[in-house]
Amino acid sequence: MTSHRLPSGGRIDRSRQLTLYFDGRKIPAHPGDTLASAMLAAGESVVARSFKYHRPRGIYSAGVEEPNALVHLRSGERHEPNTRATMIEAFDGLTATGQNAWPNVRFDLSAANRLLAPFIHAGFYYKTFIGPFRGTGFWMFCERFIRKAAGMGTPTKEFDPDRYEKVNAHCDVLVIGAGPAGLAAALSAGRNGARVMLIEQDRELGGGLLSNSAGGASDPWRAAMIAELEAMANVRILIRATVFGAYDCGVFGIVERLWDHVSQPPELQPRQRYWQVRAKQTVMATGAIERPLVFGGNDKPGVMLAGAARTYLNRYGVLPGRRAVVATNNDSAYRVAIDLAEAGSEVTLTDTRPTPPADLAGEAKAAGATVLAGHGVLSADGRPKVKTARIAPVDANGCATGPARRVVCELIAVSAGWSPALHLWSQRQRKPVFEPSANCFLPIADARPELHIAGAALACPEAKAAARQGHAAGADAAKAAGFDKEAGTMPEPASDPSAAWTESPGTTWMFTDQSGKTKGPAFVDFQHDVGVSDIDQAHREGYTSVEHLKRYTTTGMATDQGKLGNVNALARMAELRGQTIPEVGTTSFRPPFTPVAIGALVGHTAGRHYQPTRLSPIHDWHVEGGAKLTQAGLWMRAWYYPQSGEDLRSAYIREAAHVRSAVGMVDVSTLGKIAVQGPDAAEFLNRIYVNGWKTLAIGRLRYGVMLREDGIVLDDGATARLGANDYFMSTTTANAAKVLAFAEQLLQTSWRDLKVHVTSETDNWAAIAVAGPQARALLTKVVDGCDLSAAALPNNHWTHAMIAGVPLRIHRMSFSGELAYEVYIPSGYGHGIWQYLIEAGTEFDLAPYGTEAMGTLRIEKGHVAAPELDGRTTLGDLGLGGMASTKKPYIGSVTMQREGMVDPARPCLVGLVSEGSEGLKSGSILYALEVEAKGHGEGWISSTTYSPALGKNIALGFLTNGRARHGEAIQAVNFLQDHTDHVTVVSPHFYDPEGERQNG
Amino acid sequence: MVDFRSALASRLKPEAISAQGNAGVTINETLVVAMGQITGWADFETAAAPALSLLGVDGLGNYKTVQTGEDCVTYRTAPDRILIRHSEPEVLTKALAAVDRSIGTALELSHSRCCISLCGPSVEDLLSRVATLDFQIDAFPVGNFAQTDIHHVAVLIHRIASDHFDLLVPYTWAVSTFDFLSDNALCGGLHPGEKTQ
Repeated sequence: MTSHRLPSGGRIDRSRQLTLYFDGRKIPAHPGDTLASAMLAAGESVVARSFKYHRPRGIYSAGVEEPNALVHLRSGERHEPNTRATMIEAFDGLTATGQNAWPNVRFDLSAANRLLAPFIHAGFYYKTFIGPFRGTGFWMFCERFIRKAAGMGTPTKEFDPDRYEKVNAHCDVLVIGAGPAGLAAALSAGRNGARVMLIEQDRELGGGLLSNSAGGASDPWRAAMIAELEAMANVRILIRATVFGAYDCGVFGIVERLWDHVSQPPELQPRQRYWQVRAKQTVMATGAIERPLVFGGNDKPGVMLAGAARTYLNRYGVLPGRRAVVATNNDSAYRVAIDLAEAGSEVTLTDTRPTPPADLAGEAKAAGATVLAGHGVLSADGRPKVKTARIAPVDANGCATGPARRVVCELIAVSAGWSPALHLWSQRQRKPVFEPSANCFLPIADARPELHIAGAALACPEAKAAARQGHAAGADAAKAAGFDKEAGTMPEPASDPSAAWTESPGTTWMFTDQSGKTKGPAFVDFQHDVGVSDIDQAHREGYTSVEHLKRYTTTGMATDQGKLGNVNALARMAELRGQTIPEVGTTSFRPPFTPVAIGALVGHTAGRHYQPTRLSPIHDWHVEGGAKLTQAGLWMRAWYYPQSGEDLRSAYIREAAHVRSAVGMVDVSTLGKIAVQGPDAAEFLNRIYVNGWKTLAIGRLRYGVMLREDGIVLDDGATARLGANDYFMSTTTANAAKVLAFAEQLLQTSWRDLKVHVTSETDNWAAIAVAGPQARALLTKVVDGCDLSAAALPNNHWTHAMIAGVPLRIHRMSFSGELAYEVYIPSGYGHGIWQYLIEAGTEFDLAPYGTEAMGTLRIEKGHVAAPELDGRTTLGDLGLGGMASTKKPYIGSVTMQREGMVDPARPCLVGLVSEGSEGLKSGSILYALEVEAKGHGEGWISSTTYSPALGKNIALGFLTNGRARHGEAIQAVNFLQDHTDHVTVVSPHFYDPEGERQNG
Repeated sequence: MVDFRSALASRLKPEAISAQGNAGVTINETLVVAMGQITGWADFETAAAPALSLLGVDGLGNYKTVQTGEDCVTYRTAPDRILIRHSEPEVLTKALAAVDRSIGTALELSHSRCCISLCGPSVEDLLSRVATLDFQIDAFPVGNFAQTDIHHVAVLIHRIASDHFDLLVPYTWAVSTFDFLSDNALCGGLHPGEKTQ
């Protein structure tokens, strides 16, 4: 394989040698190389296969617009598909492999797909996946093979070992792009005193200047600018950072590739960082992307954007072809031809324009190039890479007007003009306008007051003018952000040797033979294998709108995002419709501008930080006590406390039975706790709860139910009156935040007349429920300063108390159906009081119990909880209709009376007892015994458990006309596990229905 | 009396609570001794005045800048709410008792928050990783505070010094927030010795 590396030149560090690997082959490189430049230097011509037809593809560009050279990077857990070789910095040991090919990109058996090309044209899948038999069975069978063939790279399924992080940043002026315009904009804004962020996707600042010869006229200016910017404390420079999205209110998304240029990041350092920047003003100096020419075989390895050829030559010291054809319709490619010729290449330049600029043509000829005016390239020939170009005289439409001749070449460098990179600008919901004089779409310069545009993004012709424009834009942006100092004079760069592309550009973009047809497949979107013929077909089939064209042919989709494919596709559609490009219009660009790793977007909210976790003040005791934990929303709760190898079932049955026979203790700190305060607090409670609150005395508490505005039950809980204007409301764990938000909304909107404030106290108090026949005895032993006798503290009363020197409150109430108390302890003492009770409770046989046993106890008692308050049930459904006051209005009091809400046929709460030995399953559907289990049934099971008190498997559920069906045998069908149980309908109050135990 | 237990007891050991080496950020806990809230309605200023007078605080203040008194800081968390942090529980109790309950309310909240202190040269960088606010000194000067969220948890952030922020975090979210902060601080130089899990 011949080396294309020149003996000198470029911006690479030739003093160091690196070894990269592509498909197992060693690729020599130097620091400063990209994988693409190293492969090009090593003569690797076929580096990829195309998406659909598996055509051999080579390196086409030198930047983010690369459509072809997508490779697998790294291996194992750091394997990454679809990375652009042009953006991968060389590092020693870099391993890349070809993708979308088997066995490899040089010899790919899937290339047989090209034989199927007539059948897999644009939109073929819309037409193909129907028939041949009734239904979709055949194609569902084929799907596995189609899926395997589709797509490009293959992602790893291993866990990504790298760290990622998100950072928020704020600045006065955000400058996107560090070419001449961006550097100048950052400098003037920085000199004004504004906080500036300068973002550059390359590893070096300079933009297009880096494609000039190293040591050339533009380098001193670039160095001076960088030195001054780096010395400014108010200027932050990010390199290897791509602004991928522009959003409302000056928000921009940036991904910074911190350590992609090494084999793996240093310990603890993030591989990539996702910046979310909020900028007062923005200067978009995003440059321009060269446009391809379209001709037969224009996708073959060896065809390359002209600007890219120059970049490889001058920046990386790589001569992409010793014999080169430079095909252009504008001035900019002349500099490419001159540089290639001066580097020793045998150059033939074709210009579609009949009279190219005399000075440039003369300079090219002087450098040794052959200049052919009014010519174009009809086809690139050779297999698998370019060996010859067929060149012919062409008319203004690119149609050959004379015989073609073959020119032997390894490189065809093409330029059909340039497209300003206005993707970010367009993402702000604006469409660009077509400027015929520059033959490109341009942003509207003053469309948004916070957006300033400068440089090639505005079709500025060359570096000096771009720098001037950037300087002015930076100063304007700083002024608009409130900084109006004198920015001083700025040194100006030498005129960019890249010739201006906006000076009288030609409009020819495609070459055909004299019959108007391209010589072989001619592509407008390389990444998606979209050819001119696909555009033609879309037009024939009526997909003439650019929006339809894009979706039907997939032109400009995926990572390309219109960087290369768009304008030529639009131009073709314009021709077919007999219109101009502006009349055809363009599509909108969407984020991301370049692909962003999902890991970067996730940032640090992964693994244990996928979501925040809430811990009870007593949590550490549960962990140390060997509890198995369960998630309840974001809370971690003690599920059960296994003893000597117990499983969940054994443990919860033991724990629940123990509560019934002795005393148990459960951590209920997760209950929502809301302080309701103010002179109108009782009135507030009266309005939000269905039952009355005006008469609740200090020292008492009451169970209450609240409805949503539509009459459905929202939540329940007990509220204690602590003082004249002070109440302590408890809610279910699940609905705490919802209830607080609802209350706050009512107070701030509908009930502004009420003098009430609500404040969450959930974090202020730990809570322990002590339940069981020995509960009073235990607490009596440990409390100071209060009488817990039944007479002094009946059910639904509370008292201040002291345990172990800690002032706290004891509420007498029961969720378990047993004699029970809830002890409310300041959070910082919750852990200590729990431990104190555990120790003091030994003589009463106290044992902790978890949420599973707590559920068992409440199901036995027939108490509803979250599974019953599921957003579908009414008071009547729950059997709580009797609680509703008829003497006052309350939230939901009218809507709960709607016809459907009071339908007697609504499913209502029932108890269910299983006849079998297997437990019932929540979600099972209830059917009458004699009917086929089909459809929605007559109800469902909401909560299930094994009841140690009854010695049976029981459940709560909702059943149509349930209260009238006690004693009826029905079937409960668990469709998920294809299991049917026979159950008997009973009262939901399985245990101690008279409440003798809890009131004792 | 049983011992008070910090929400961060499982994360911070006394011997580890100090800056070590050239750590970019030291993460620590500052005990919340006493905390309370005063709220009101139209006469909020009148309702709060006696309490503020006892605390030596001059007025309700604004929503960005703390008010300070003797051993006391107040935060105006809403038009009709102030949060008070005090180092003398008895003084705070007296102040809360001074609120006229017909025009205002008082609530003792001493156990509701855990105070995570962040100090060090990289503290702004750390906070910028976890919250969306602008923490640069010009935008968030010493004495300013803000209510925001860190990883979905509501926190109040108070700048104590140029390199020191106090975060008031709900007690039950403290461990999660601490872990989130410390994991994010690692790359900037949190000394591993300060993490004790």
